[in-house]
Amino acid sequence: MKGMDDNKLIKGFMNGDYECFQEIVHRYTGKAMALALNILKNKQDAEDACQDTFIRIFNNLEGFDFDKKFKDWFYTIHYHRCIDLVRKKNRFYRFLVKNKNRKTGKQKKEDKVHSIPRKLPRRYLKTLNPKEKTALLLWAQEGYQSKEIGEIMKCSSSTTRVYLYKARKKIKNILENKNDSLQTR
Amino acid sequence: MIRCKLVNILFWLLPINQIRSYLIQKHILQCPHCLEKLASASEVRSLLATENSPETKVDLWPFLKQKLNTPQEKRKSAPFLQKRWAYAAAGILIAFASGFFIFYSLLDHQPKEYLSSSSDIQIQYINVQSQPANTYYYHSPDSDFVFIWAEKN
Repeated sequence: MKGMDDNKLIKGFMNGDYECFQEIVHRYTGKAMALALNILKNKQDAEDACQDTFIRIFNNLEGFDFDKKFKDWFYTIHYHRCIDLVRKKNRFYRFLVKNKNRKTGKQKKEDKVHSIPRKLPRRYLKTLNPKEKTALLLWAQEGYQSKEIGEIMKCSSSTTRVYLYKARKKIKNILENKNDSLQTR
Repeated sequence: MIRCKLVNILFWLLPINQIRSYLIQKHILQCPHCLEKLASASEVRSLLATENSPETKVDLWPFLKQKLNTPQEKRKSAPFLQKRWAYAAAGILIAFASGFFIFYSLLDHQPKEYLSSSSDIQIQYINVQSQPANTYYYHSPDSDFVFIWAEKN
């Protein structure tokens, strides 16, 4: 089953073979986690996003077009799920910040102890927005070109080309600054 | 070098993706000097979390298996979600229709306007002391009052 084509696995699953879907999950967990971690910056959120994506795929497999690549379809669903979560998270943080400003000193101290952890797996990537990160990852890891990235992100190839250019430039600056700071130490 | 600088200036001066994309395709990706300023795929992979990063090694299957073990129930619930819109539309329609009828029934109970013209008055006959009497009526033009005068024959 490991060497099987994605589309064959899906057909197998649609014919009632549950193991085919298990193989899809194992095959795509790493890719899904990588994209989610880069966008959401938090392992727990990334896992939630991946689970949601797999459940959506499970429920919507009947709508899959077998003329297209499963990987593209998968990335399209997963990317939009991650972006939805980023928006929800941002709304929640804004609400939290608003409420924090209203609280008294004692409550503020308590909040510091129980504050939401904001982990950044790659702290240098703060300057990149989720769209730039997605474009970069799909380009660097999957070898996608701007047209394919545009189809996944539902935007034009010109826009993704600009995202990629800006992101690659920022990464280069980050790497150069990092090297400079290491040399001065 | 001068061309590179010009392209860079144009890139930042014209924030239109089509123009920027054209500049990238026609110059930046072709020019070795400009390419030096962009990170390569391997450099990007060294910074981003990728498929091979340790933090991406998780086993989602046990949780998913639990969730997906009841596919029949999920499929059953899906038509209900679609029907929900039909129920909502029907509810709105019923509320609208009942509101319409209530409004009209209220209108019917309101007192009708006072007779304002002589054509609305019909007098069959008036008896005075069990005898038909001569009857006259007077409708003043500036008010809705009608005076009826009966005279014994």
